[in-house]
Amino acid sequence: MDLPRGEAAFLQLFDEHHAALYRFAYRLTGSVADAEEIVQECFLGLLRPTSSYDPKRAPVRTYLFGVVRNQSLKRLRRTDFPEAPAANGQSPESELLRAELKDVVARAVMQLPETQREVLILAHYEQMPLNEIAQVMDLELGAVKSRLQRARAGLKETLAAYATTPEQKR
Amino acid sequence: MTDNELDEILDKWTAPSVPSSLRARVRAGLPAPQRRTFRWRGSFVAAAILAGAAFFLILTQAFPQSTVAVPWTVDSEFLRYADDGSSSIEMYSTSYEPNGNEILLSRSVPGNPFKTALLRAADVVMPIHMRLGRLMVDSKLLEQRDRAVARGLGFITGCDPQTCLLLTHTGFLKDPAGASCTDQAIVDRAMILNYPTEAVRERWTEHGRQTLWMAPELGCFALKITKEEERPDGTFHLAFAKQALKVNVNPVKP
Repeated sequence: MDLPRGEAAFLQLFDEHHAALYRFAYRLTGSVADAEEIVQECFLGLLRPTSSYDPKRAPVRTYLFGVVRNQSLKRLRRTDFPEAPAANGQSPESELLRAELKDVVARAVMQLPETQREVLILAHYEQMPLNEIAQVMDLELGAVKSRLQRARAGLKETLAAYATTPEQKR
Repeated sequence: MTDNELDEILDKWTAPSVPSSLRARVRAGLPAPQRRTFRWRGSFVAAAILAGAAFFLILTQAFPQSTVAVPWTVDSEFLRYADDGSSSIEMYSTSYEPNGNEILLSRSVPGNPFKTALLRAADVVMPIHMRLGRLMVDSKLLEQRDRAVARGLGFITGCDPQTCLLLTHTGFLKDPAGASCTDQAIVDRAMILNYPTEAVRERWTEHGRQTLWMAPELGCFALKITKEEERPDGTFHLAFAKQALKVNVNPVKP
């Protein structure tokens, strides 16, 4: 797919992809502000003459995810480590527990090694096919699979205590 | 923990919704002014091309090429001489001389198609430039120039002196009575391509002289021109020559 011509076509491209890109950036950086800036830059950069986008090499969605990934990692390297999003501390107990679990999951994902975290976020949260993840990360498919397996195995250990037992479900 | 249990737990981490301001910010960041500039530039270029085409159309209608029939043309070669006397062909030309001013019809540089193309492009542009020049020159000055041209020996590309500014390359004055090609001293008489010629010589720079062999039967066209440079000992050596190769009588109209 070539780049869209005209403002309307460009905004249509934005509407199609910005939500997934925003979520990806947010989960990589843990920052709403960073995610906004990254997505904005990602789209505007597409229009610059210096843009490296080549429609012959990859679909625009894959390219955009690659840009968001690179920008997010750059920002992460500037800060020591991403902070997990804070729970918002609602007063009802259930809400508090839900927020706490959300916080726990976020911290667990963010504590994964960077290479595993990216794969897990794209595969689980964005439901991206593994071969597309391989393109975004410029990896072999086998490497993507092994990273995903390691990430899930690590999370199972970390989050084991939070697993819902059959009794709890009842 | 099963895969499904892990997926359920992972789903607890929801991402915040995208701020509505993001779309507006991206839209505001679109290079709209540049795109408008580009469009404006594109329009300007198109308008300039159209205006140029219209201008040249008007120009060619206002100053048409000479309709004078060409009774003959002369093919010539231009030779450049080195200090050791060796020569090389600099250019071939085809020209004629309807009223004392040589008019170039075509030229080529042997072995150099690029330079030939450049010269031919110049031959197209020069007449237009010279016609424009007439529009910009004071009318009295133009009259004086035209009178001088009528008595001079010129070299001009593509158009005659009635419609073009003339490039005079010799400043040589002809005999206004017209009985002979010149009222100056004849330094040589020779037959060139079966046409009788009479030669005159004059200084063309402080340390150079030129000689022209003019054919009365061809409107005093110079079938041969030489330019010589003076050595410190006062002798001259040949530096340049224009030599007629062929006279074409009643050629196809250029």
